[in-house]
Amino acid sequence: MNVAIRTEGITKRYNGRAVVDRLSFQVPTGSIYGFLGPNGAGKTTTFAILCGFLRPNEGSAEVLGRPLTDIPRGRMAALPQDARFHPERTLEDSLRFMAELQGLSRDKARSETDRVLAAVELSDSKKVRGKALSHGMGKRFGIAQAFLGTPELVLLDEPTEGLDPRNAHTVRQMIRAMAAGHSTVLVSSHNLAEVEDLCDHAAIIDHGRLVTQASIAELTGQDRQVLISLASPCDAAAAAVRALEAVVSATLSTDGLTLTIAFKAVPGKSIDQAISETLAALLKAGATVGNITRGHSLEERFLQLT
Amino acid sequence: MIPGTSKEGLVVHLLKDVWLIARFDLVTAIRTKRALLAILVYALGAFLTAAALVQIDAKIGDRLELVKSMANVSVPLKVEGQADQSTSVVKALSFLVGGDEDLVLHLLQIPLVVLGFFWTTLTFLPFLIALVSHDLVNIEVRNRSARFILLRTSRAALLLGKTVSHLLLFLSVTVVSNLVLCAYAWNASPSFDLWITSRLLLRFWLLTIPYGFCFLALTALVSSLVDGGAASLAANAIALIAISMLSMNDTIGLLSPSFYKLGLWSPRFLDVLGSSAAFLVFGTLFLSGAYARLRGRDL
Repeated sequence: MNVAIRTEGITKRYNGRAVVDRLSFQVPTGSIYGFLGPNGAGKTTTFAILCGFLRPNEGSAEVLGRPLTDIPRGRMAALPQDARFHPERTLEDSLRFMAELQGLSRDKARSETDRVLAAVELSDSKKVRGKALSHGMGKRFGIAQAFLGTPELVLLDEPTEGLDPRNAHTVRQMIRAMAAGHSTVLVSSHNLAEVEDLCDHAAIIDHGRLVTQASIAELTGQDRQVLISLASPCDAAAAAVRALEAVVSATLSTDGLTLTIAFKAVPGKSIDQAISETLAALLKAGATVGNITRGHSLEERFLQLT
Repeated sequence: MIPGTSKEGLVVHLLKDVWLIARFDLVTAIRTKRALLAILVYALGAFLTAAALVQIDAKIGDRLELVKSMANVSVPLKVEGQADQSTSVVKALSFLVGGDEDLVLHLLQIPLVVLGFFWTTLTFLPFLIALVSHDLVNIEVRNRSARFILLRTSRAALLLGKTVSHLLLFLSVTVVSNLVLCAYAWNASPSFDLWITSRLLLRFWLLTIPYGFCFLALTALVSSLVDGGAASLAANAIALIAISMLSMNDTIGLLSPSFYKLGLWSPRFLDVLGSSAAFLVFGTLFLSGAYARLRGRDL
């Protein structure tokens, strides 16, 4: 697996307390990777380490194949949390400056500035100075600078926090478009539904430590677990599906209305086929199926793990 | 910056980034109160200096002319009274420049207005630099605006870019001040010689480059060591006073940049070159220290 980011036991301590504690994870190239954790879990610190702003006390990391001491600047972009730009310069000036610093020609910097300002709906405010930005505008400015050019890796720390639904939707679309253009996107968010919808992989950290990392499908159990709601109690339902090759376990709730089925991988058989076989077995046993839910929500998983 | 594969490529990218940062920062300074403050303070200083020196020139100009003319006489002076007067003035002035009478005689050839203005520059420019640039590095760290820049370029480019920007600002300010000085002196002093004054001002302006660089680098170093705005201003002032006091010591004065200030006045080219080189060396050392601190710290 090609990885855009690889960390090996990175640790960051402040006053002897580990904010990031022996953290190891890999971000596959081309993925949209969610980085989750409760407040104070170490997400922002990890982002700052990956951007080269903070030096880890221990451990090592590679970003786009290069060590932290030699981060490939200009090939990566980020939305750093709490960073402010020059209060006296306009959005347009600041973005052009950053685009040129990123290696774009003056003409390209101008067109890219116009593009990203339009994308975050700030075209009308391009002459506004940094000091006059509202929180939302500042956030959108931060996102705009992260999308300048075609960076191979984009790190977004809480990109939709504080944005209205319309702007949040626009940002999600931009992230998808960036990933479709073969960029790797690492995104931290407290909006778990957003991460579940947007990302294909995720890591969950807590107290600076990795709790788990996996694909979203694995994290939510979408390829291993199904919850079937029955319209009426059916005692024979569980026994009817246990005999199936792909079924590991089948548990009926005490009210007889919810059947939780765990699957295992069977060569030559997809999860969809296994679910179809299960439904057929249930119908044959006389059960009436009301609703099917694959896996559980990322939020449920997150709450279980943290 | 997409790093080049060769050392030359990296240097070219670094220089390009330094120029981009310097240009952006300079324009920012011009659009803010920072440049205005520097220009006002310096232009006011230039005006007051010029006004004072024109007045002094009008009052004791004749006596100085006499001393100058006597200093230029290669044969022994015959007029007893005038010789005494000349010697006493030269001795009095030589006290101010470490007892070097040759230097006094050289300085006497320089128009008083230019002399006074260069002295003012050498004395107050470090303090003006400290006042205006004390947060050269730490403001970028405090605001975390450095993070937007350092995603795209190196810490060395940031430090050098900011230093170049501020150096250009101060050199521009001294040019503006020189113009103010010339304009006033031309208008107020009948003996004012524009050609000689301009030539000397250009020379002294060129000498201001290594001198200003040295003290700007010192300010960058202090600014990278001390995080707070007011604290770095205070630390800068303390550093300048310490350097000034250190230069007065006969044994360890060599370790102070201020020790080499006098060489910039010298009639001997090698002395001027040596002093300029000393300022460049000190500046490079200070800037290296600032870089080492910036490179090793969290942002």
